[in-house]
Amino acid sequence: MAVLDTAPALPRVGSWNRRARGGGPVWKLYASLAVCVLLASAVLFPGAFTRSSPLQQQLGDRLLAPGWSRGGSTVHPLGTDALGRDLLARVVYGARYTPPISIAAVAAAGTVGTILGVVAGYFGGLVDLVIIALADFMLSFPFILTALLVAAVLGAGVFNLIVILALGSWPTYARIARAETASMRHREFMTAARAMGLRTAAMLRRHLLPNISSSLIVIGGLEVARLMIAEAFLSFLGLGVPPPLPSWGNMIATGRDYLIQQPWLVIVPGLAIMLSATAFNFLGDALRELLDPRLAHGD
Amino acid sequence: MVRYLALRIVQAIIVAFLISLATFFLLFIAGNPVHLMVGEGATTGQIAQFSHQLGLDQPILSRYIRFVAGMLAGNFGESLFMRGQPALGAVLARVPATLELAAAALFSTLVLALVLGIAAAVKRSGPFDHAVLLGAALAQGVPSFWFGIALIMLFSVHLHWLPFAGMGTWRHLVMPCATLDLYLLPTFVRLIRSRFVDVLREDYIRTARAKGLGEPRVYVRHALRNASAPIIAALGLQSGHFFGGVVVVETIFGWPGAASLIVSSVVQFDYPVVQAGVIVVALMIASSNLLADAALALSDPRVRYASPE
Repeated sequence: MAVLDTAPALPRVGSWNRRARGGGPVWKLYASLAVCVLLASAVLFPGAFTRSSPLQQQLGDRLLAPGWSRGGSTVHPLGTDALGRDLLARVVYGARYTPPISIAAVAAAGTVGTILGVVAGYFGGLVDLVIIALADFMLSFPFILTALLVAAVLGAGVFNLIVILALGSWPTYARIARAETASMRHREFMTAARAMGLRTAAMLRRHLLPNISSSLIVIGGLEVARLMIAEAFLSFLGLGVPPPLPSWGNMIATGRDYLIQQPWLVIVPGLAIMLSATAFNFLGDALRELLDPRLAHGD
Repeated sequence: MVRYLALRIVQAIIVAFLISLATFFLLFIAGNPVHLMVGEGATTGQIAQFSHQLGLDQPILSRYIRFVAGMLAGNFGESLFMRGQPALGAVLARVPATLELAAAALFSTLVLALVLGIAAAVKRSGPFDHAVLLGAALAQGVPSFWFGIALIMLFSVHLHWLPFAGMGTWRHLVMPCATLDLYLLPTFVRLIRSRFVDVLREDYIRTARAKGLGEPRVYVRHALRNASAPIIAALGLQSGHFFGGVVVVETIFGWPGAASLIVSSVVQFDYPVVQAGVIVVALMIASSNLLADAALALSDPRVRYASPE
């Protein structure tokens, strides 16, 4: 089977501008893009944000208060953790885990889920039944429990984490791709493509996929946000990114033991997760309203 | 209707069976738990003897048959870490705590979501509506495990108002419930709001207003009644999502329910308890779906008399 190309088919510029001028979702789009730029620069150039190393321990400087509080540290703007590691450096370097892992998982789940959904929706019959039964089966069970079980079996690690998160996300893609494909299958442009003698794979890729891609892109933003929170929780439980790597979930787990001495150890990584997840939620919402007014909630 | 429910029950049993199958093979891949139980210093002989006692040295097919036979008799074996405790009994003993938390959270979320969702829909596109939608979008990005810890930090560590863990009094219930509310509210509020927006456009609402009914009566007697069926149906589909939140909240607040038992058993590799727990969860989700179906049929005669699809 040919590999389906999931490159986004953006709408014509004119229609984009017309809706954008109506106000509404544009500020959400800009806000989320700003956060994305911030995250990308933290991933690529962490040295621009902090001089400290996220792993360097200085046991003499344990649990220092942040720079703005009385008696706070001047070298460590956000203070230090129980091993004397710089909190700002850990949060900045932490951007290398949660967001890229979730984006990779959504890319994998989007590819697999879209292929399965298109196949199910286009061919129907037994294939459809099996794929959709499997997707429904996975959706009916709490994802976090599935993830826990698989994580316990596979063991902690970045690659395993991507696989586990993708496992929780493909059913959403499969369901949507299937529904959209089934509704497009008998449209005139599909009949025309078939009449032109295109092979099935080429027809699905060149004619069907661009027409269903806007829903899939919209789901992408929301799924990245959902998986970021799931990733953080798995790391929090010790089943995700292995310590001492500074993933935000790990940091909350270790900071939890020092709620009285240094509450910022829990607050700061939580805010980082929240900011990133909200940015991707807004991205999904804004794209939904820009690309697909039918899906805009409520009105 | 009876036929439809019977069909759903059969479906639920098949799903639970498939889940047990998946769990069994997953734990089989994970390998022999005896290594974890006996510790570092054990000899090969001790491991072999222990494996034999637990029936772990037999071929996979016979182990699976024994597992299914045991499961049908309600016997998942004994817990590996709580000596002498049957796994299923250990899980079932903790189900009431989970149900207490779930019921309290569901009730409080529904009340809040109905108030916010209806108020937003009535003044659609007004400032309150925008505030509710923005609030829902922001709440969706909050990791609930972190929110729970933040609540503990504020109300237990600093203010000493509420106990940070355990269950018993209503004060134990406040923070777990609030955390679950925040987790569920975005979905619930959006759903209720959008159903209400649709219903309020219907002709019968105009008729109700035209015949001089007061606004509260229009919303409750006419709009809520008609909006409730799709709301119940959609909420039934959310039970998996809901239980995911219960897992997080029980873990953070040390709530002695079935979900936190499963999490600790997964981490400790107490696989009989994991197997029993997963089945119990699957059945709990299936029965809440059934309850939603039954509630749907009660609230909407069209569902009751329609033939099953």
